[in-house]
Amino acid sequence: MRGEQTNDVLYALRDGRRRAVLQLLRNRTEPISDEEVAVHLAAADAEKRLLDVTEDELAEWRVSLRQTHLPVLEEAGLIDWDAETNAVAVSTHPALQNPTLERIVETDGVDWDEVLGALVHRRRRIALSVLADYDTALSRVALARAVVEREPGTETVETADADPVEDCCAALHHVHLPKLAAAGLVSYDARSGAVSYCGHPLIEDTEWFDLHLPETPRAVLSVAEPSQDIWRLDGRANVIEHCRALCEYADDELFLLYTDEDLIEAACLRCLQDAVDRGVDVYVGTQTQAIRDRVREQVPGVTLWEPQRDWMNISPEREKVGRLLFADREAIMLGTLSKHNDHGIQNETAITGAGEDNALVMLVRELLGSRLDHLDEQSADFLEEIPF
Amino acid sequence: MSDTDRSPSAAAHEYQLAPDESPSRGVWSVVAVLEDCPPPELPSLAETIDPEALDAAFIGTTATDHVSFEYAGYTITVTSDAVRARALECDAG
Repeated sequence: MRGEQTNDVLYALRDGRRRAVLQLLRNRTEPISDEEVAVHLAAADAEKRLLDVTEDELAEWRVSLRQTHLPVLEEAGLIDWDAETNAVAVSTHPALQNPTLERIVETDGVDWDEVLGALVHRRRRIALSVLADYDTALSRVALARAVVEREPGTETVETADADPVEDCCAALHHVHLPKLAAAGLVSYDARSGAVSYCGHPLIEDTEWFDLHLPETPRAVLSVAEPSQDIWRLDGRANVIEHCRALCEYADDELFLLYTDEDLIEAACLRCLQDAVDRGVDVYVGTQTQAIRDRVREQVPGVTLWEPQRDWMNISPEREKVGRLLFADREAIMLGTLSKHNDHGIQNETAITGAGEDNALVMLVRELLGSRLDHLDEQSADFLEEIPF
Repeated sequence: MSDTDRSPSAAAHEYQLAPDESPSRGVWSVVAVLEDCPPPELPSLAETIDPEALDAAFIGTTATDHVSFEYAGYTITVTSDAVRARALECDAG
C-alpha cells in the first residue's frame, strides 16, 4: 500500500534486494544491463562466483528484478532505467547523498527491512520524532495530540464524527505503534497506553525521523522553484570544511559568532591566523569565556567582543545556533546544533548563502549594518545596538 | 450507517466504508461501536492481522474479494466497501 503518507525512497529501500541493486550500481561509473545486475545479485545471493550461477538461480532474479525491484527503484527516482537498452544506473537523486541513507545502503549484514518498513509511513516518523524529544514515556493520547499538531494537513477520514486526535490515537494503537515496537524502535504497553522511545543503535541521528531526507522531488506548488540561493550542509565535517572555505574566501573582513567551545577546532584557529596574516580584519564574538581565552591566546590578531544577548541559546530543548560566519559581508554560513542524542553526540547542519543579493546575506547585513564597523571600539553604546 | 444494535448477540453487523476509509479502520470502528468503547481500548488489531497488509489486499486491479478473520470476539469479514462483524457466541450456538 503506498498512499500519500508513504515515502517512495524508504519504500524502495526497505527491501534488501533493492538495497543490493543500489549498492552494486553505486560502484559503477557506467550503466550496466539489467541482465548483468541479475547475474551479480544471483551470485552474491548464492555465494558463488559469477560463472557458477545456475540458470534457475538467474531466472528467479531476472524475473523479480524486472517485475518488481527495478520498477520500484525507478518510480522512487533512485535509478535511471533505459527501457530500450535495458541499461540501469543510479540516478542523481539527492537521497543518495544523505549520510544516513548511504550508511543503510552500504551496511551489509544488518537487517534494515523491519526498521525501514516502520519508517516508511510519515505518521510513524512523526511519532518517533515526537517520542525522541521526550526522556519519559508518553501516553497514547498525548502522542496522538502531538502527532496531529505536527502533521501537515492531517488526513482524516470523511465520516461525520471523525475527530483527528481520536482518529490518530486509534490508528497509532492498531497500526503504527505495533509496527514501531516490532522494529524495536519504541516500547508500547497496549494496556496502559504508555509509549517510549528506544531508538536504534545504527540510527544515531533522531532528526532523521523528521525526514530532512528528500522525498522524490515533486513541486509543492506549481509556481515554486527549488532555491539555488540557500544551500544546506549536513554533518560536522562538511560544516567545518565550508567554514574553512569561507575563512579562505575572505579578503577584507571575517565576522564569526560561536556558542560552543567544541566548535572552535584547532584547524579553525589556524584558518583564522591565516586570515589575520593576509590582512583580513577578523572579529570573533562569543559569550563563552573559554573561547575568548583560547582565541586571545592562540590568535592574538583577532578582535574579540562579547554579544550582549544570549540569543543563541534561547531554546536548549531544540536546535540552537552553533556558529555564524560572515565573510566580506557577502558570504554567510549559519550552523545549527541538534540537541544531544543518547550517545551525547550533537549533529551539526548549516545553511549557507553567497552573493551581495542573496536574501540571507542581505538580512544579516541589514541586521548588523554599519555597527560591524565599530566592533573594535567595544563601546557600550554600540554594543547595545548590536542585535546579536 | 443505520442505528447500531448494541446487543452483543446481534447476528451480524454491517458497516459501510466511507469512500476514502481504509478497511482496517472500518474493522476497529465497527467493533468499537459494538463493544461500546473507544477504539484504542480494543485489543490492537495488529495482534490479529497486519492492518497495512489487509488494506493493501483491497487496492489495485488484483484486489481480493474478501478477507475473514476472528478479532476481539467477532468473526470479521472485510470486502472492498464494507466490514461485517458477527459475534462469536452466535456461531457457537
